[in-house]
Amino acid sequence: MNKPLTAEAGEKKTELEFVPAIAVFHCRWCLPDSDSVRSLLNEEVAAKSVVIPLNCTARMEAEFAIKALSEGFDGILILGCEIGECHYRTGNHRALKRLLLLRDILALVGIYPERLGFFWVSPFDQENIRLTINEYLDKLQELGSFK
Amino acid sequence: MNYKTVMSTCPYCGCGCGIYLEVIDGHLVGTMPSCTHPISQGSLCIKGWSAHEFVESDGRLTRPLWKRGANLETTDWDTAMYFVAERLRNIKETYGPHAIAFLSSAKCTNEENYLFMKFARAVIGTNNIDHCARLCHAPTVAGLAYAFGSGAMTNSIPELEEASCILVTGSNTTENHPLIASRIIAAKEKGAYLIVIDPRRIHLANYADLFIQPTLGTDVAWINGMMNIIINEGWHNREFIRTRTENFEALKAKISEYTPDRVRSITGVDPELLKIAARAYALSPNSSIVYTMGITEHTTGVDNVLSLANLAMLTGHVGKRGSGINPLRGQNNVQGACDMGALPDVYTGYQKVSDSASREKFEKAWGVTLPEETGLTVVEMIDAAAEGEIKAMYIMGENPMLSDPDINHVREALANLDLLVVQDIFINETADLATVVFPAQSFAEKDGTFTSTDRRVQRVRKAIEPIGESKADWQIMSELARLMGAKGFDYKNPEEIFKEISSLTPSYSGITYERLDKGSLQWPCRSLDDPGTEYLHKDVFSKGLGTFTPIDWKPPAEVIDEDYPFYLTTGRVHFHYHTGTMTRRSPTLNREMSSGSVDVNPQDAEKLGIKEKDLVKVRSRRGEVKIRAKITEMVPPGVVFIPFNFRESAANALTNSARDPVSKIPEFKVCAVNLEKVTTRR
Amino acid sequence: MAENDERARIEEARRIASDLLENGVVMGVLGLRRVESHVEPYLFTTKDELRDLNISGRYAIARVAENLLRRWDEGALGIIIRGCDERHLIELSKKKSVDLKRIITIGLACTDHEAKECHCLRPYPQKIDVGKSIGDVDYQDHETLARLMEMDISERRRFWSDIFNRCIKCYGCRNSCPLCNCEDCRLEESRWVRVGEIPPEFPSFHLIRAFHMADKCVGCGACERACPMGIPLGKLHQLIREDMKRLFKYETGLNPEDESPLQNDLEKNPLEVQLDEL
Repeated sequence: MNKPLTAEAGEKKTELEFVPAIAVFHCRWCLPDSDSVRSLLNEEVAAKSVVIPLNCTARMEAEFAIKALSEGFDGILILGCEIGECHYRTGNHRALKRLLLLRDILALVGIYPERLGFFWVSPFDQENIRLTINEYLDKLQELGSFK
Repeated sequence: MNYKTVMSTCPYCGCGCGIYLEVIDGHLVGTMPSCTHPISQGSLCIKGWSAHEFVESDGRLTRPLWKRGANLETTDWDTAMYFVAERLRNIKETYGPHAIAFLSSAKCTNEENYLFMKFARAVIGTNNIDHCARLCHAPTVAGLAYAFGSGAMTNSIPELEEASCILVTGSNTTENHPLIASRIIAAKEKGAYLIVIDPRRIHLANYADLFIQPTLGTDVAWINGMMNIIINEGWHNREFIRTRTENFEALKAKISEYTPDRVRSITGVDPELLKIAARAYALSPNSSIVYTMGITEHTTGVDNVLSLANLAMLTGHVGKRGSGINPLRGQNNVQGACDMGALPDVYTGYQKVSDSASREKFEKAWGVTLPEETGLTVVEMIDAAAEGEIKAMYIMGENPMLSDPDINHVREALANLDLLVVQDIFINETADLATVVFPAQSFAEKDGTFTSTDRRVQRVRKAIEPIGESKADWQIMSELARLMGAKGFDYKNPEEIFKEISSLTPSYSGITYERLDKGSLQWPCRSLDDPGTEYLHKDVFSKGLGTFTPIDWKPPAEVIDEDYPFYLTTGRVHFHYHTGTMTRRSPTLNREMSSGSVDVNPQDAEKLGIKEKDLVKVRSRRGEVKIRAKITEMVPPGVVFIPFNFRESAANALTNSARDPVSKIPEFKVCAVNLEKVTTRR
Repeated sequence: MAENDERARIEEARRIASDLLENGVVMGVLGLRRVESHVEPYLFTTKDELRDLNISGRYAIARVAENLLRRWDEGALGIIIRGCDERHLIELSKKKSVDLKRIITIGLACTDHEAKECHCLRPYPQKIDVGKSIGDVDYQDHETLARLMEMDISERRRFWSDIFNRCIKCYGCRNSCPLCNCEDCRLEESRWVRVGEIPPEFPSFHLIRAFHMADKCVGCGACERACPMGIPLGKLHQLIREDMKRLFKYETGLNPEDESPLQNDLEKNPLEVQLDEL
């Protein structure tokens, strides 16, 4: 399960040797199980990261992401239901707005907004989630350590 | 319903920020900075913003207390006052006036310090009066007075912005004088070169152009080293030396012994860095030195201060706008308490008790005969009490049980007294030992003046009615003096006391409440049309020629050894003030920091197996404390730091009361300790 | 000339305040008074006291108004306000911190000079009682703003982390702001910002505050004026306000009926940007 997803990613890692630590927040309606979310990360990243379930991405407050950066995480990844699929109808609308704003604020003070990943996932397409996460991790690797 | 703001002066550090106390229906509800005030300029630090919080807190003393058996019990004013008057009279008659000693307060107003001093000298007849300045800037008062003729900050706080090079040493300015740090940052933004020389990597070091970290207790050596480089490179100011100073040749001879290599072996400082510092300081057009306790709280405190004075005179960086030597005074009114003569050797304005003309002047004004021998200093009083020579102590607004070195010794001494009178706004560690406790008023309940660090006299204004039955210190002293039959204590208000101060103090003679209502005035201010003095020693030093003093480096009184392998240094933290009597009753400040910790370098921590927040036992030859560890690069390997603000982990249970021979300041900044992790049994 | 003008404005404000007090419609009029060396906030409750009324000095006085109304259960409060004070009150009303029905404003239009000093964009309240509006202006500190925007992202990071590291955690930015008035402040909770440390950790302290203020800040600049360490908070907030406009077409301080887009769903406040950048 934890083999490198692409040869490319594997190579990159040996080159850079930087393994990002990330804080993953996931909606428990589209991704009920934190362990299976964790299994989508490669082993080294998983070892340094935390995976936190939320009742809905609406619960995702800006503080969570900001504090994660302060505590030394290199990225924050938020996985939630697509617009229209929210269990609470519009919970993820609020999350989306908040996170767009937060990205702008991060950029203003010189923090790459890409460190804040926000993806809509469908519970029926694990492979797509995996790809999305990998692209995100590749990007983090490019950006390097936050500190 | 009523809302008003009352313009007053912050009761914490010596910056002297202007604050508005917000009062709603007779209660203090907030503090705001004054936008038009020359120091605060619309800003405050966290202590200033919280200045109102302790005033109405539950623990305020509201009635006099006296000791019945082992406990302090409430009583009424008449009973307490008669008791104290009777006991003081008794002790004076039996043992003589010098068996009584007074500790005045840098927290109280000028008027109250003056009255306290007058009470000690005129009513009791002793010069045994001192206050906590002994524990902070006594070496400054002595050292700068010797070198220049005046022991105060030479420049004004706003002028720091005009300096082109600022040398900060032994001052953690952002934490302890935040609104002065603000000027240093502003100066830096305008292009000033900032040098920080400190054994600890303080916050300001991050903004320094040059940061040098000498070994603890080696100040004279690096200052001599800097002067050695300056003289060898020819960067000294020959014109200034020739026209304004004396004794240069002697200094030069001494300095030649402090070669860069020798200095490195003492201080651990790279000569190249010292050379960069020397060049920047010497050759900048307007250099200023800023220092505090890191320089003074040593057995070589006066030596350290004199060395800085040497450096400033050598380069001609004194007596100019934005350029001079700036000791930052720690307390809101420690400058004032010194100015008011709450010291064993001087009356107001540093007029010597040993000088017969001064003495006669005060004898005439007060209608009494005054003692001529110098009194005891803080630490000497404690020793004398321990030996039974001092029978009674009267302590106004001080807490020596936490602020003085070697507090186990202080406890024994105070317990040995026949009479201990404490006058405070809260019960504190010292009041616990008192025979009688008088409830005093906070700064928000009374009128008066404070003199902040840049000799700035400012008004303190009554914002609310007194809490409980508390009385202002000036009222208590007046009433007690009258009760003891003294004349000349019939003051209606603090302004009347201030008029008496002005009439007896040349440097304050031009200052009146009426003028202060229009804004602050900096002494010397000698007449009603004198605008006051922004910076001292222009064209000529107060004493004429400035005096160079050749100084040799001496090691601290206690050095590390096998049993005590770490150096302990102490100080304050940003969120608390001194013994925490006020700040620890302030919810905002207590939330920010509710206990002390010992700073340990990561290398030492690893060696000793200490992790963040581990409980450690710190032990010196005099005592031990248990305290949580904070692992930080702020201290170098081999050095630990403990703030003295917290009673549960009192740094002064460990410190050494060995003192400077001239100024009698104890060596708070260096002693040897042992460190071990406390292992709790599972 | 300017002095006469100021005197005339004070006179006019005094007349209106005096009427309010005389008619007993307000418990008092909140404003500024001159006392010897300085100008300070004060609640005028008698006509006599209005003698010392003044309008110079910048105090974010809505903070005081909120405090007074909270402590007194009933009655109305008169208050002399400028444009920024009015915007504070509108935002406080959105937060349900202030009931605008209990407030009677005496609106004061700023002069061109005053507007310049404050880097203002809208130096007048919606209801003007004293002085004449100079209309919308653009006195932003464009030089600084441009400098901030010209930096590339790593330069910005260096600039802001360096300047935030000056912070001595005085909370002046929060304390001076009428709108940063939550009962429980996240900045004080050790969960979000480590307590007892200066400088506070980057980026927690500053970004948590910046985010919280994003849909409230009216750009009065009180935070920047209160900062002892010269952190250009006003500029940061100005840039964030522009982001709020770009993302959500939202502007603070205009209408008490407006709702923050952050509190609403996409149907009520659609995004103003294409989402492919997500």
